[in-house]
Amino acid sequence: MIILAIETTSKLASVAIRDKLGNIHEEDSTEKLSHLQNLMPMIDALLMRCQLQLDDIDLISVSRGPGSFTGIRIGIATAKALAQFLAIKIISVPTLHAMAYGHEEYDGVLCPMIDARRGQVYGAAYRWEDSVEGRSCLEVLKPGPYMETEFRALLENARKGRELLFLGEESQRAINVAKLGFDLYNKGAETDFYQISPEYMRKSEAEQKLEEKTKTT
Amino acid sequence: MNKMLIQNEYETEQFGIALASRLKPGDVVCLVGDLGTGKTTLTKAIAKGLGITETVTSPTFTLVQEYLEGRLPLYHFDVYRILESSEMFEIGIDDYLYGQGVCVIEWANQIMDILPEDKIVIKLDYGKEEGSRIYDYSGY
Repeated sequence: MIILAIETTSKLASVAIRDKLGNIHEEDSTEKLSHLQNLMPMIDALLMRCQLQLDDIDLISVSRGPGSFTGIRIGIATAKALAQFLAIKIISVPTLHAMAYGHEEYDGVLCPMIDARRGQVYGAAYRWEDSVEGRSCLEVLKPGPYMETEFRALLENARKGRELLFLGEESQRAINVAKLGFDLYNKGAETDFYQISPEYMRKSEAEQKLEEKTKTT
Repeated sequence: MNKMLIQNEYETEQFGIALASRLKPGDVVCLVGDLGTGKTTLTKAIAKGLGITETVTSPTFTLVQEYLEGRLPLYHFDVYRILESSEMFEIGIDDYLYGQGVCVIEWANQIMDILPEDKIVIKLDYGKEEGSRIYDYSGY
């Protein structure tokens, strides 16, 4: 099983390949917000480095958001096009969850956060625990859009006195998307290309209206 | 709030060029005023000040037009036909607002609630004399 992972939800894009032996190779861009120009050449360079052809890829794992609006669209569109062309399946990976995959050894609570502007964050919390299948990543706080103050309060409650580690942009990496993609694949989460969509995580207009209504009444 | 009397199109251009010289990445310029008060004319002047030679036209149908040849990228918005601010999220306005360029937004009053707190607002109104305008501006 060879997995191609794509992460374009932050300013810097990266791609990774998880090979048959489980080793992960990564290629990243140093140019900010240039996903559109650099993504395909980066995939090409990575394949070459791994001495693979495009049709050696068995599965695509793509970070679906939240994050940069344009970035998410480029990542998802590229993943869909490649999967359709190669006739392979896709795993659509929640970005915040993937961010927790860079710190499997950490014993405290991991708290991936993405700036949602206007006093809001996209945040979640996870904890790695030993289980019969080895280390597994538990959700401690549901991924979602939160007001900063609300998030802080929920986090304080969810950490249960454990140490906290905040994760930012540096954790939005294809290597983590490859790792989570593989775990989700083992749980049977792969889908057809037309079944995945971006996750902007913005509250829909209807939800916002309802909130305003309940606030005023 | 500062008020300034603009007597003719030449002064509009001078105002726009002076403003452009002080803009930095991430700045948001809101243009608020009725039809015909010269929002697009002022935008053209800002574009000129940034060193853009391409012709600037109002992106009423496309919502945003990007000009990348100047000192800073210019993202020119016209949000006249936007009814709900949230529509702007669907074209990815945050990537522009918090990006490396300058946003000039015509009819910004339509979407004021989603714009950053730190912004330049210019209200354009007709003056008493034919062809004159009054600019009421803040944040600049």
